[in-house]
Amino acid sequence: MIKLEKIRKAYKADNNWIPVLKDVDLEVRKKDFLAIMGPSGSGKSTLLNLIGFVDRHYLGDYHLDGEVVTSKGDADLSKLRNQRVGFVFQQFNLIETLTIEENVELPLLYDGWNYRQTKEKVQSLLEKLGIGDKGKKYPKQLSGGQQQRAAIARAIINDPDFILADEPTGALDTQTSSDIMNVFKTLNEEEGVTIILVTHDPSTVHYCNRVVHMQDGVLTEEVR
Amino acid sequence: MNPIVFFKGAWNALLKNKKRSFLTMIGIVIGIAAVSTIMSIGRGFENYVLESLNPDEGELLTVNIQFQSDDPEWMFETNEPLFSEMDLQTIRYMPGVNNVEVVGNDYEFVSLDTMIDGEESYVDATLTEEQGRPVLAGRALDEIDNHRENRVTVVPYSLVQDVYESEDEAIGKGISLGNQLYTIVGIYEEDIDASGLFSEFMSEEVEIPLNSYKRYNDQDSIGNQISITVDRGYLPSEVADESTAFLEENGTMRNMGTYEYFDMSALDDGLSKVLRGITLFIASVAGISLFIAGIGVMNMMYISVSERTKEIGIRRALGASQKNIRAQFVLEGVMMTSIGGVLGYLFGWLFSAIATMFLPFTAGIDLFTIITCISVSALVGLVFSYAPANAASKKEIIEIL
Repeated sequence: MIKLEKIRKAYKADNNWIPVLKDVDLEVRKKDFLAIMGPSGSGKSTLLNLIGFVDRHYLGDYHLDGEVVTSKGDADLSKLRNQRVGFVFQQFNLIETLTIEENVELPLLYDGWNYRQTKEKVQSLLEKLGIGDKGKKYPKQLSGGQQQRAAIARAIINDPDFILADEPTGALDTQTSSDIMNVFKTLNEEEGVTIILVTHDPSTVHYCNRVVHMQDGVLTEEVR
Repeated sequence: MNPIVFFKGAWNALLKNKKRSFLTMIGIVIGIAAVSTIMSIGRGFENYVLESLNPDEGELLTVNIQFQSDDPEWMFETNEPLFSEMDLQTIRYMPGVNNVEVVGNDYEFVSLDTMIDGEESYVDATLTEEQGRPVLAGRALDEIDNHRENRVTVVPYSLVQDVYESEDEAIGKGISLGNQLYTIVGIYEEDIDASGLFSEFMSEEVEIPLNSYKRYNDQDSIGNQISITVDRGYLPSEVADESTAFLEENGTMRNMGTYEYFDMSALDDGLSKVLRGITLFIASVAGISLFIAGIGVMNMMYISVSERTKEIGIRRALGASQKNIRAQFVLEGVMMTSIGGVLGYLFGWLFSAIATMFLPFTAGIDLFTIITCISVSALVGLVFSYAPANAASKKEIIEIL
């Protein structure tokens, strides 16, 4: 589904180009549960942004279902972000001035839905994730685990092809972490959602079926 | 994105910051209130002028346009008509014109030289078309004298007392007025006032028929004025304005001088002068207030954008394009100023209602003012929130997340 070929990226600092990604090749297939591991500063978040159509300043080719997305404009990339990818962040990144419902329905609204159409879908998804009674609450009124569940609901409401999760358990305690990881696991196994997980917590790795390591901008796949 | 979704989003964002939105709105409210006040009062005044200058009943009004030559001598010498048939035809078909005709020099009084007892002097003559003033001896002038252009005159006895011993004796005698011989048909009694303090300085006054004067004394003069009869529902000053503009552009004599009219609505109206002063004052208040309010809106939008940087990033990650983000912030600004505009209009309506309690006319609600107020306020929102909204849309998502 996703195929990266010789991706390079460098930042400019003090007139020096500092490479972050060095000829990265990666292929992600449907129903993969892929973990990208590596120390901080190794370039894994950069790679994630790139896969999530957020960053478009790089060299190399990015194929999505055989289509090159490298040279697309803002409107097209926004549409891709909206329809094909769901983001889950370490700090949840829910909009604090909106209720949980309003947060979760946002991707649908950007896809052209109106309020009447979204209500039902949002509610059933919240129930599926075990926070059906929290729809009218604001993010601050929820625990970290509940917020992350809401964020996952928001990530999958548009039925994306894949989910990008950037250390989703980084701000959670052990028990909640394993709950969240189980949510991902269920999504992956039962709904067939492709998940790309960035983590440096080894305990989360056993949920995944593939692990790649990132070190100084070089990607190596762990053979299992 | 669905328009209703857009509106609701902007509305919610404003509600989240009620206090700040309201404070920013105050400037707009003041500015628009001022605009709507002057417009309402101006409208009311216009209707009042129209009403008083061109009422629904009675005679139609006329307005005169005069041709003034740059070279007065040429005007006395020329025999060409100053208003051609072509000019008149075109004006006749202009909106609001009921009829148009050339009028001659429309005097009521003229000064004429006369010879009495071998001595040359001047008398004032009243030109009359109808029944003249009552007399002591002989008869008064009447319409027939005017119609037949009779060279007859009614004079005060004081003028001729040195020549004739009694009033009756003067009847039927001749008198030279402006080198034309007129027959005295009547003697009238002078005003008591005329024997007052200034009587010695006042010249004697005789009465002659208007047409006789035109026929014998004034035959050389040509009409330098046209009289336009104005249809009901039109302002004489506007009709005259348009006609004058037409003549200045296309009139037969446009190269020889200027066309002018006397604006009756501007006449003797201290009120209109005061109103113009007030209008200018309020207009500058409105202008400055709207500008400052606009800066306020801009300031608030910039603060809002920087406060909501994270929200913008999240929205972008969820699929909002740069256009979506820009539209969202512009709509917030426009919505805020539009609400201010509506409030401002209501205040303005209130103020003008109060103001017109002291003025001889009423200010009504009219659609034009409402539309102007709302569109001006929306425009302020659009202009001043565009730059912040654009800045918001240009934020890099990677740096935000």
